[in-house]
Amino acid sequence: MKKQLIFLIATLFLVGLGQAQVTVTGNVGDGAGPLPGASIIIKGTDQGTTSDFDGNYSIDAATGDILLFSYVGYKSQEIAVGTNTTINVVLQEDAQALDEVVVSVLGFKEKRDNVASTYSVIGAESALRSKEPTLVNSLAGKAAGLSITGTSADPGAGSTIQIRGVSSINGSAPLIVVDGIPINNSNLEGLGSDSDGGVSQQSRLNDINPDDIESIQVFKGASAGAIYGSRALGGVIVITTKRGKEGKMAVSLSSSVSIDKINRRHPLQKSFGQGSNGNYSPTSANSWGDRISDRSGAADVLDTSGQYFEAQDGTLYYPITQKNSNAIYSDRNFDRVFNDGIAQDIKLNVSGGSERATFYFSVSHLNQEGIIKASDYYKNTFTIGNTYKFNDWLSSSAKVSYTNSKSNRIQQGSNTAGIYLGLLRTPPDFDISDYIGTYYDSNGNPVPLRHRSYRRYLGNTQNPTYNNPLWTVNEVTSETAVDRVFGSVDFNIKATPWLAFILRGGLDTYNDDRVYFFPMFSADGANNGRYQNEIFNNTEISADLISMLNFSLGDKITNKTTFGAAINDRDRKQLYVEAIDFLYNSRLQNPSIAANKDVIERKTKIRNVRFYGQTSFDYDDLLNLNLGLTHEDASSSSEALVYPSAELGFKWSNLLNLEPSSALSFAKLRLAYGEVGLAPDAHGWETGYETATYSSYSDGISLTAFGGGFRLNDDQGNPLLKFERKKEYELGMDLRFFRNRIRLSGTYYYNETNDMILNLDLNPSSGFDTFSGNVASLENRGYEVEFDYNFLKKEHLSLSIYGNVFGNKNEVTDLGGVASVDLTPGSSIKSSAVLGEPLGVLLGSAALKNPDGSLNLDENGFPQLDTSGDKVLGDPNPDWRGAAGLRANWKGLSLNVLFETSQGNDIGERTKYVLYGFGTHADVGNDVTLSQNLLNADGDLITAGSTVRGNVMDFGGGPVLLDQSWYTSLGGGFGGSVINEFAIGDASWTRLRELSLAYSLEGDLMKRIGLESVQFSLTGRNIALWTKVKGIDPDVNQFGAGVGKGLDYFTNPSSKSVVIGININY
Amino acid sequence: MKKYIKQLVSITLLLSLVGCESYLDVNEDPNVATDVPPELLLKGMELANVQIQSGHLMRISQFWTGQMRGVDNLYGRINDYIISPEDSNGIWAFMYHGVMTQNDIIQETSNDNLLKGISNILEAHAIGSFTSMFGDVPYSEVGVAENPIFDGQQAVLQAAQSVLNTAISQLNMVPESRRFQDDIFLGGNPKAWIQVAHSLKARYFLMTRQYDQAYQSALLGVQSAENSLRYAAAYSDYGSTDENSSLYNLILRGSRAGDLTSNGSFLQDLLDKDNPNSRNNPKTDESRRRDYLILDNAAINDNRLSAAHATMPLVTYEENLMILAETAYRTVSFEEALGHLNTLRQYLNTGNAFKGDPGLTFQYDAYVAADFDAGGMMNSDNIEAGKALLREIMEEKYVTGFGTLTPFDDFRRIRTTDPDIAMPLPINAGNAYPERFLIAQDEIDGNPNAPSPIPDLFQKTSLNQ
Repeated sequence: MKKQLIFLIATLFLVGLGQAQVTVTGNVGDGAGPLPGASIIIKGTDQGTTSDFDGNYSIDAATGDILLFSYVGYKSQEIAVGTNTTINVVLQEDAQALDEVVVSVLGFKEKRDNVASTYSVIGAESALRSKEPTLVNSLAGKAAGLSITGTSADPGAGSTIQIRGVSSINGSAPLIVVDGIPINNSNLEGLGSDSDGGVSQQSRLNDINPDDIESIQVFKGASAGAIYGSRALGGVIVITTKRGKEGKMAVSLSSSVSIDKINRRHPLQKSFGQGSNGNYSPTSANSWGDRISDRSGAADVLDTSGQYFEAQDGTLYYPITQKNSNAIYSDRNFDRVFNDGIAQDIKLNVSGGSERATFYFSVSHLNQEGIIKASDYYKNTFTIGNTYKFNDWLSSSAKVSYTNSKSNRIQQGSNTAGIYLGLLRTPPDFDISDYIGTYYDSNGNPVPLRHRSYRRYLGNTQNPTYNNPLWTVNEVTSETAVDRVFGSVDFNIKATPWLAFILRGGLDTYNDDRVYFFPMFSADGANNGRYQNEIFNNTEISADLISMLNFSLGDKITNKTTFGAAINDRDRKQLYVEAIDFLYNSRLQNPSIAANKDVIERKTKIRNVRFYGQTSFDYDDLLNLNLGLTHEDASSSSEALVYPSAELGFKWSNLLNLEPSSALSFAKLRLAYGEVGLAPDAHGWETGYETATYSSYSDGISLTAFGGGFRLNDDQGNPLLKFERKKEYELGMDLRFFRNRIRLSGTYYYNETNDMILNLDLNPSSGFDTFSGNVASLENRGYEVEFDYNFLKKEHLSLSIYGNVFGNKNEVTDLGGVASVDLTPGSSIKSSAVLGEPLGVLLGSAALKNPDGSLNLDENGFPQLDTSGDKVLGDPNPDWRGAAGLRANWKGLSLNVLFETSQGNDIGERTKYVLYGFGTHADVGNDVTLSQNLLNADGDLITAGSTVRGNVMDFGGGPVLLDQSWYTSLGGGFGGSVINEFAIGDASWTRLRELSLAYSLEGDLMKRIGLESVQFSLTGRNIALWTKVKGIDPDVNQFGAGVGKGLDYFTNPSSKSVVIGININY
Repeated sequence: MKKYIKQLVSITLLLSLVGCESYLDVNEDPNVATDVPPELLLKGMELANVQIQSGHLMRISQFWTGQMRGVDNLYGRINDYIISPEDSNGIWAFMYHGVMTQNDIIQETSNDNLLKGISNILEAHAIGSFTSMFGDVPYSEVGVAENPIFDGQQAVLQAAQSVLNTAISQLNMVPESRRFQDDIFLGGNPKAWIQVAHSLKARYFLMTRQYDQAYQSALLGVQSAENSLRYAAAYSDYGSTDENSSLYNLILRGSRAGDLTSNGSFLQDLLDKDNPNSRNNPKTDESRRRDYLILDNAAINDNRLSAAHATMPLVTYEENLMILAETAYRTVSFEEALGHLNTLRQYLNTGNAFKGDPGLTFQYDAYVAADFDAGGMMNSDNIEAGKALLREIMEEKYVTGFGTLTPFDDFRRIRTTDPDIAMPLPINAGNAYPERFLIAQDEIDGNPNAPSPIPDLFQKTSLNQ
């Protein structure tokens, strides 16, 4: 401090000497372009100015004065005024303070401390470090209020992105804006795959090459999103991509190899064979058969007189009349289907530029093989971007990316062709190896390529009931091939020093071509074969014209005003071909082999137009007031909507005249209000005509089968459908302590969504069956805290802890008179919207209760089914989530550890519960020796001293024996007539999300071999998981990336990985 | 630069103009037709009506009238009168949306009296059965009010009569030679449809105990077996795929196959020569007809009503003859009534009225008046001869009406008007017969005009009180 004082005095003295006054002019930039608003101060004085839009500045100084050029997020530079009156400065980015510069939702750079919206920044480094093959998953745990929920570890599988809870039943995925252009992040289920069972679909955001990303910013509140109106209901994620920089060509090459393993396995019993009531049966669905160790171990007794099955390797299978073998295949069966996944990822980017032009070029290639054999994901990306300055008032930038990906997904979920459904139900004494071969009937007639499954071990019927998992892996394919191009062009026109125009256009188009192929003798209704081809053509065009005005209103007030007009056009064409009943047993993937073909074509088009204005006032670096108004009209809404927004930032620490040594370094209070919306789905106004099938009970007759015809749709259109509307209030505080070494930011918010569109059942006498209207409401309230504490900083050593904590409470406040809305059709535990409950609660069959809440037991001491209808059984929404990490740097070595947790969320463990019924789960494979006489669920008395298969349990009426009679009636299995309440589990989890160690070589040694730096890294992803849920990572979802969640039903598992990487910079 | 400002402002304005209505006017659904000609709606109405007349609730009515038995799962419970309002949801939707909403469009937009007449008959057919099943139901305000009031049963039937009158006058304006191929019941034969309309009028006059008008209408009713309304007699590919097959075939082959059967039913016993309750007699051999009416998932064959292409009766020549017989007995004479009964027996004796195992015999000789005298073949319990005749007419109608709602209608009616000769049908549980179906849950939930509480299963509808 003393030194500085002396320096200050010395400077003042020098100034006092009075040197020659000159006007210095020049430009401040960062190599990529000008830095508007950079501060230029004559050191030691309070004289200064800021650069204009062009980065140009002009300041009166004296020769010998030292000009201090600074800009938040960049290293300051000092330059003495000499004879040259033109001083152009290129500021270098300050890696330490990278996050100090933020971008607005429109993609413009802002000073962090002037922004009053709630947002989190995820640096490219932080996202890339997790080495996730998909971009969305790499955001997990990195920002408060941001929840990433996976669907499974299938290569390329999509994930749900949710900010601050669900804002609408009709979807509340955030808007993704890349370089100012909204891009598509759909996760379309389509017609070829059901949401409850089928394959994991992809999230289109994952098409982006993560290597192209400079930073990701998550805007959580409606005040920031208001400018995007109906696109921003779920918040806005702004992605800024890399641009070339002025200077020498930079080349970065990185490569990584990842080894993936399944991270949780359902425990299975290995003691009891196929059958029921303790007797072996080779066709039984269940494994309630004999004790395998009690068998003689001799060869099975076979009936070789009639039908048999010949496997491809010549092995013959005859009807078993006496099972003697005590071989157990559980683990072998598992290993035939699962293996270690491997992913190779190579990325290259080259950039550079001159004063007038820059370029950026990248390519990447990902080649991933999943933990389930035959599952894979290949992705290639290609990006080229440039910026060009035509003259002093016109510049442009353009970027275009092409992505091409291909993936084979594995059938899963509630689907008799699903891999887990077939595998986990397989009895321990059944060997799945010979899944295909020729069946010979008792007359010797052969049927080649027959499917052999555990319920049809001779392959003697067309229908295998469930697929042999090897059939699912080797014979069934579910491929998707995506070609996508997205790009944007910006023209920047500087009309005057205070007025600029930006013309921006974007195009995002993709073609997703999916082929599902089920050869003859497949399950899932494909006994005669099924070929499905579904093609999505999706194009989104955006154009914006933005005018920006910069004013100074007196000394202390500056104003920035933005006006904009934007149009957006989204088109989708879906073409679906289903070809069934193959004419012969062909593996040709073409509808020409099928007898029956059905074609469905659907087109949707939605357009919207927005006009917006935003004005922000900065008063003396103390108060920031941002006011915004957006007018939006969309083709699918009957009326336009105006979204207001207001944000106030109050940097009250500036009133305190803080010493640099004081504990508090910075404090800001934030208040915000904003509105956003959601446009109705396209084409909901009319009541058109449709074909129909009339069925009163298992007796459907269709117009199509009678030569065609129509009826006026029973779902009545509503020409008055309008935007859903969300209002949000926020209160937040940003604090920094000890020279900014502790950063703390907290926000409380409350929001409500009204006019939510629901499909309502009508009274039939109204003449229609359903009607959709703006009838429902819900609300969210919650808090978010982010912190970062750099607790040790030495020359070579730096240690920080960081993290976030957030919680959200959701409540459905109005359902338009409907009792509940099922968000997960087809599941007997239904994630639902229920009035007065959080969205997504698990609804299902419960045990009968006494008025005091205890179980109402039957005469044998067992719970009974409550037949009065579904009850709320659990809540899949966590009470709170959080993440905590440690960042350590020592010389070139850096270590990052990140833990993430989710607490208080429930899951419907339906896989486990169903396996109880099937008798294959480890929990139902126990032996128990009774110490007293016990009753089972059938009321049979099992005497003390006997050793039986089962578990002893006390439901409140004394101990009882849980055995097959319980697990196959109310205590296990599927459907609504089992007590699904007992399938609900606590899915709270804590995981070591990321553990990475990197070593960076730079400096002279590198320079000598002509390189900038080389970095080696070793990353562990998801390597430890603590949860009460057995058998599956609770971070999966049977229903994929939909609104319904908290269900596991033979859902494909998650993985853990170790990744080795190298990154070379030239 | 300043010179460009003007241009930029113009671009902004241009962008704004683009934002006007025309740019956003793209919400018309490109995936659905909105200009469908009304004649393409008829077939859908017919299918909806088939479900009302011959679907879930008709099958349930058969469990409750001894014609079939529900033995498992839902049908097992419903057999014993455990039924919920949800079971009526489908039929209510078919009635109002499937039939009435579509007919409103046809009447409003079509100029073709053939189409309009047929559609009106379908609506009258549906609403008549509907009010018979549920008692008071919305009708007069349907299509006008969102939450229509419930009209009295009598008023609904009266309205149905007037719709039938309209239909008849519409069809009378159509040349007799006109045909309409999309009609899967009668191929658009206007003459046949007029006869069907008169038979329906007769059916409804019976319900309202207006026997004379019933007789008069029945005289104009279905005159021949070819003019019977049957699902789907006029569709050449009927029964060729699952979705255009007989409803009995579908349910007996579907996932609920074993849940219902005719085995062990009152009707099967009635037709069984060897059963003490048999209606076989020296002039009557029901062996083949019994076989025809066997409905069981394990016994589906081409000769039975369970065949995929077996037509299902809706409004038949047989029913019309039986209405004539009953109303003649009530308003004309014993002889006239006996004559009509014998006309039916004559028709049955041709062997064209039903299929059944050709190896089995049948016989329907004409009765004479003496058969009904006290101590006669048809009157061993020595009741009044006319009553004995009426009893046989109702029993014959109970058999020929198999597969329609009329046995349920007649049984409830006769137990009110002539309890002494009502058939001794079994009560499946408890000690009362069901008297109606429950109002649909969707209606209860959505229409404040629905009665609360809804009338229960055993409460007689107003006509049968």
